[in-house]
Amino acid sequence: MFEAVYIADTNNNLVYEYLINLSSPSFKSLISVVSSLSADPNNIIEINKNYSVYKYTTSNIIIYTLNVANINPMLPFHFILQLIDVIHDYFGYPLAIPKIESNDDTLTLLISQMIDDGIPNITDFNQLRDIVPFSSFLSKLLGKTSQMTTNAIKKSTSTSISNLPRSQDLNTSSIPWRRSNVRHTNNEMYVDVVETVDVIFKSVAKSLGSAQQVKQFDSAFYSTNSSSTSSYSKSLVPVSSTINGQVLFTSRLTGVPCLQMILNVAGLNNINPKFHRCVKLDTWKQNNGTLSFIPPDGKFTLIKYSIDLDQFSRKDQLSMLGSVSVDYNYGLGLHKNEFEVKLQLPVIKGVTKIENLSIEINANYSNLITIKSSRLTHGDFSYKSNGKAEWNLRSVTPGVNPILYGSIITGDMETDSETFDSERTTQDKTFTKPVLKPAFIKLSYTNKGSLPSGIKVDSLKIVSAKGLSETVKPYKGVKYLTKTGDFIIRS
Amino acid sequence: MKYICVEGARYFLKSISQSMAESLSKISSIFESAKDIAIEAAVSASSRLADTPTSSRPQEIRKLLSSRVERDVLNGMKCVISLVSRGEDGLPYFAEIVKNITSSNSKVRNLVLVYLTRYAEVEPDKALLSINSIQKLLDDKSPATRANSVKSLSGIRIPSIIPILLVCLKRTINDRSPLVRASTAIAIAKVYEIDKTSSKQLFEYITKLLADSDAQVVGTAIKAYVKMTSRGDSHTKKWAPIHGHFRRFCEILPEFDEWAQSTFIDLLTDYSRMFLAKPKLYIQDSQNTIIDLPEDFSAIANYDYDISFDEDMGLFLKSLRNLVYSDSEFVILSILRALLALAPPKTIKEFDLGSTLCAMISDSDNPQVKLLALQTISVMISKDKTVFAPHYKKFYIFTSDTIEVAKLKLGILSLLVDESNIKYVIEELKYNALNNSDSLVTSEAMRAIGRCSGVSDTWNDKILKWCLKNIRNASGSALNELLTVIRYMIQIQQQLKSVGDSSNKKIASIVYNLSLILYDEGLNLESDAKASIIWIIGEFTKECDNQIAPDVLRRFLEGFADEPEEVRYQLLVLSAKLFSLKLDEIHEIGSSSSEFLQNDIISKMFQRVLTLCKYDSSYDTRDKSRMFNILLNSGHDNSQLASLFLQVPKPAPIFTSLVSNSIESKVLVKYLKTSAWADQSELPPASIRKPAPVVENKLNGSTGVSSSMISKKIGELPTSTTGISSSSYNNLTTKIPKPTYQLQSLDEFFGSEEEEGDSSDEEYSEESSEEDFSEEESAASANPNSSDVGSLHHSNDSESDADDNSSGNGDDAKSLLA
Repeated sequence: MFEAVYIADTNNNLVYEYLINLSSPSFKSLISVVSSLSADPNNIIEINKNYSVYKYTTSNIIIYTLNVANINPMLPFHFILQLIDVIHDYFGYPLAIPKIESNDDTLTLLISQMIDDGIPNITDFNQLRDIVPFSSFLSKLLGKTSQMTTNAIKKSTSTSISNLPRSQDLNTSSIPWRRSNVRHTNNEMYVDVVETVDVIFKSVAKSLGSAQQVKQFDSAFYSTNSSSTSSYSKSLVPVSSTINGQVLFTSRLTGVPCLQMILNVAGLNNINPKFHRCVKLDTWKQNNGTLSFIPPDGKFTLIKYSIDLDQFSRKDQLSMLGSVSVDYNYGLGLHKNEFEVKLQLPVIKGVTKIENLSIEINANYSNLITIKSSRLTHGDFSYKSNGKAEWNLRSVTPGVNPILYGSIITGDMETDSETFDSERTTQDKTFTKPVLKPAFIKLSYTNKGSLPSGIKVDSLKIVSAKGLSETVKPYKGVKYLTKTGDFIIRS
Repeated sequence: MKYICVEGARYFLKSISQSMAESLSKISSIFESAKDIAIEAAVSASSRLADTPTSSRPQEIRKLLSSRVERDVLNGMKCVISLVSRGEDGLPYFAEIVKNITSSNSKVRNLVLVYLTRYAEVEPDKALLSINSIQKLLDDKSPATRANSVKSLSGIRIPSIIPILLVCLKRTINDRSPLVRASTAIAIAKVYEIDKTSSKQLFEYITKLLADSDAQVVGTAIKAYVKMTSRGDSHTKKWAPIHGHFRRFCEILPEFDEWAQSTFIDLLTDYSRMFLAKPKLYIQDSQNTIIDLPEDFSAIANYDYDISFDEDMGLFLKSLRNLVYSDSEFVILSILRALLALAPPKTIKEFDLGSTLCAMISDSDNPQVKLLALQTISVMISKDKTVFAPHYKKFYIFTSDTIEVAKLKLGILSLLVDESNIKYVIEELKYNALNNSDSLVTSEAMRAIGRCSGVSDTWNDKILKWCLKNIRNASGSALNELLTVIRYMIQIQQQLKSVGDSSNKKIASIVYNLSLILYDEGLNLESDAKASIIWIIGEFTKECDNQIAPDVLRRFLEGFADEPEEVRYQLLVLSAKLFSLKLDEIHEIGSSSSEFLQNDIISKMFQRVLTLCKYDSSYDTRDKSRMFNILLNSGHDNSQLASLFLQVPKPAPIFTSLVSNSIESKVLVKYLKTSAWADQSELPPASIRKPAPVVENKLNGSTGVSSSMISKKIGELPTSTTGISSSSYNNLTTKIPKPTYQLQSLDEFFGSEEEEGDSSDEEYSEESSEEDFSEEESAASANPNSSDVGSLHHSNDSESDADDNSSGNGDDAKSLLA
């Protein structure tokens, strides 16, 4: 199973290592082998017939584990993610090298519990907190205060007091995922439902009749130039789309509460759920959407789900693709190198603004010079490099319809335009001129207050609570967040 | 009124006191944190000390470790641990550290324990000094401490302490805390690794833990058990403890942690292949055939079928059904391994694992898992593609996909292609072949398009047309792939030749198109591409009635010297091919060759090329030209030989995916491999899986429940709920499902009586420790450390033999009664 765990910085300098026994190789001896074997960024590196190294890279550290060869190849990665969870829980967000360095003693104790004789053992952070006491109170406190400032929720008093010496007689908790004797002065629970939309649109030529009308309507408002646009009108068709969602739960509840949450799944009958082990499966099976569970203490992912939108009709599919819709045209203008992006941000209940809204325009022509914008109603536009340009709108209130009108400039274009005047009249020339279009545009935004799938938390209540008095009414909070993952429109 | 006032005042006071209490607690917490800040500052100061390698550092650390102040010791320990965790040697401080095992601070103690497990092997003598103190911790009130103690005791890999260890393990497998019992399970595996002589006894211990009433303990015991047996001992012995618990394991599977779940599934999959009957498939074809689970499902792909599983296997699969909702990807992979080994694709579909895996790849937070999931999918598709066919849209390429992911997706798409979806799949492949910014992806997309051919003729034509059109746009490796695809398509046409002669026309038109591309001055083809096209033209010249190729040769002959090396070489090959065809022709007619050749244009061109190649700068070309010269210009026999190897049909290119031999797939295939099915005629009867008794450990006061197997029926309440009294001490609650167990328990009881005798010393000390920790204990724990260690060890062995016999009897009795 596991032979060693190494944490290194992004330049492969050792930050921390944990060896199962003396015969495990040190990082120094290993890294030379690893770097010699893998020129390309492989995440599984075979050292020899019996051992392989698994590598997981985060933004500022790299975690390696040395494992025997014939194990479940997904297992080490799961372990590493658990380890990161535990580090977060003990030393606070975000993962940073100084934090690991100053807490390497606690980390050693933790890993010694997480791996015993190479076998992954106790990895749940709630369980670990029963076994390995908090040592660094400060970092926790700091973590708390930073949270406080961001969330503007009073948490200073909710600092857990359970790290006081426990009464010795009590056994370790009978619920393996919940630490024993949880006590909070402020009882609260938060639900965050986050959905990510992944979609690929394909643009197809619209049937002319309707297109004309839409165009005319638009041009009346914005006087989009050139009447030729209408003939190139495109409509977007989603070819592949998925919503990935997760319900993040933060519980700070005294005692052993049993909760029931009713998730309104909006008529979706298969959302491919993945549950945290605390969720009682039978209740869900009997009653789609009802979650009954005894939560771990702290932050955890209650349920993950994935909705395959391709199984729905086109109309339903379009209705579930989030709060921004796009209208996109290319091949416009005399040089057939212009394109137009129109965003529609309808007013949706609960959504006050669309944040981080930006559109990336990608073109890969070998002789591309730049992508420039000739007209835009909101935000600003800039050409980055490598055929990439960005239209950045930042935060926008719903109800507006931002428009970008831009063009792609290539080397051929420049030479062409000089001779263009003389040849403009010849119909053939314009016909053979290839359409210059972005390869794809990518939309990204986040918004709070609504979910594309329509899933809602209908209720969250404490069914029974051992150790939590009846009079205590815990604070409950629900948040919805929509994100875009790969929101791609292909030309 | 007054009363109200008083009430009010009281209330006021109360609220004041409440708020005071609150603020007090706040203040105290502030103090606390202030203290912590101070400590942290001190720690970081000391760790800074560790950072600067001065010659005085070891002394400093030693001083800290030998200090009387607890905080100094803690700092010293932290220093050492942080040295160790930075890859430096912590050995020099061994002596100072071992001393601190007696520290009252639990953190210091735990750090010492971790240190000891790491270094004890090197300094066995000094490490032995600590054994006593660690053993003493076994009597600590806190389960965590006891667990740590067992853990590190077994982690000290010194053979001489094995006897003590065995005694300790015997105690701790009956500890009241599941945590301690779980640690014991792993400890058993550790001891097993160091010392094989007591393996029998260790097996017995682990067997007992496998029968534990607590799921956590069972889970850990399974992990330990798998580790113990992974070294490959004799088979039947290895599986003996599993038989009796098979059904119970299936039942409590959801209660295990994810590590145990995965281990367990893997274990039982192997078990099922070995001890259970193959599932039967009732195929709904004309004859209603009944077959055993085949290795290859392609034969029955078109039929619907019902499956009947062995009863126990059905139980196992049913327990897996719920685990599909697990949020640990590796558990899902374990389930897949089980299903691939034990069940037909239909079951995988019933489990809806297709969408589960597809969800895994669209879930973007772990790229590694994504990659492995895709690999798994391609492995599964190679067996049966119906599982993923409905999900083909999930393999469209996103811009954020890494190159590896994109390549795998393309590969999977081309595997999933069929009549119903080819329109969409090809569209996706085309888009990526033309628009992807990465050349590796574009060429993989080209290959994928090549692999899609063969679905239908009309599609082949469309693909071919598209390929020819895009030769002008593609470049680099993508163009190479494109030409390979074209060649492949031509060869498919060639195979269809027998159907009708229209195919030759088709080939001719393709070749003609290719030759047009060659002539296109404005295109500026890369030399590799040019060479490939010339090769294709030469290769299929016979199919075009030798009409296009001579013209190509003629055109190129003029500027032969200016062509790049690869092109010159291919022109030589082309001319040789043409000439050898010509020779064959002449031979058939039977006319005198030399005369004819004088005037033939092809012959002339060939001789011209030979002359030109004689002075070529490339060795290869010169060499080849000499060879052709001898073969073709020196009589009929040789030329026949030449035509043999020039005109032999070349095998069609095989479009293997670039990634199929990546490390991920290698690791995956290795993991998914299972042992062969056992000989179906030699399966043991299902009765061996009759449920074995479950050992219930009472959660009342006593530290150690004796290891004797006095048993009680399930659900019966423990009689001695009062706890600690020494009379109830030996009272044990073992669950068994059958009343007939009376007999067996007696047998067991005999066995355990001896055990009691041997371990009485131990147990006495345990008992007394309930009342008083300090003194008696040290005496007791000193006991095994003294010289009679060997004898103790010995008696343990013999006792285990006795136990073994008795359990054997028990089994007999049971089966008699049953």
